[in-house]
Amino acid sequence: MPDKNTEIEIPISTEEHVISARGEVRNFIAEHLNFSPLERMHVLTAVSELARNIHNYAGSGKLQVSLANSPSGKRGLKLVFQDNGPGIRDIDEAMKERPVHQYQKGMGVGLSGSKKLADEFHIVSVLDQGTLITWIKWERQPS
Amino acid sequence: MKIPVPLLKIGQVLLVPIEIELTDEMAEDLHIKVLKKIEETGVRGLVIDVSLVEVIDSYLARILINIGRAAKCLNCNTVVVGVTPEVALTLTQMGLSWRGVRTALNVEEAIALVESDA
Repeated sequence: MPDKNTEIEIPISTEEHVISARGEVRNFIAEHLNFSPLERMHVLTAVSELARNIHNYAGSGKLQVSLANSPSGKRGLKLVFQDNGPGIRDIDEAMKERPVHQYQKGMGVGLSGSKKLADEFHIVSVLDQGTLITWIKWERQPS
Repeated sequence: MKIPVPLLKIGQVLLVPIEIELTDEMAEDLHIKVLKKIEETGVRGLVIDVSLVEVIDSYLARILINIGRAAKCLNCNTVVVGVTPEVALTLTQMGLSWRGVRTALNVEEAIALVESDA
């Protein structure tokens, strides 16, 4: 049974959820992990990007927040974004970086950008079934 | 839609302090309202203050960049104030370019910057 304190599940179905998800994750990392201000900004920005993608493209989904433990003893933050939306047809295409004049309302920068902010990033997407994104950031200084 | 973001005309500068989280609708609305105001008043400078915005993601960055570029078409230069080092570094690491949008450390500096361009 998951320890309620070290694992939380946040629904993402309204625009307000995108905003409140950041607050919940901010509180979670303040309570459990030792991140620098820059690392914290990476986390909150990734939450914003990926939760917004769920809201914009899938309509609704959820974010599971938990502590990650590596075999070497590192601790970190694990974010799992999950939706039952239309899925991404071509992940490589969606993740391509685009020059600034091509910044349209699109998932590209958010998706590829979020990957760059993570230590580990995995994405699985099946058309008409949904998308699952795992985002992990390790502590640099143990707490 | 009445958005709770004030547009403050100070001489030849329009100051827009963003103090709340912007929903998609509010952001679109702000974009239009700001450009309308620039057109009405003919101000030569736009200062957008994001000091109170904790996280600037690619969505908000895109809005700021788009407003900046549209304002330029109306002969108005834009400076964004209140971008913290953490925000700037994070957006840069994500691969986002601030091209065309200048930043300043505070509102006074921003106003001086746009006034010197006018």
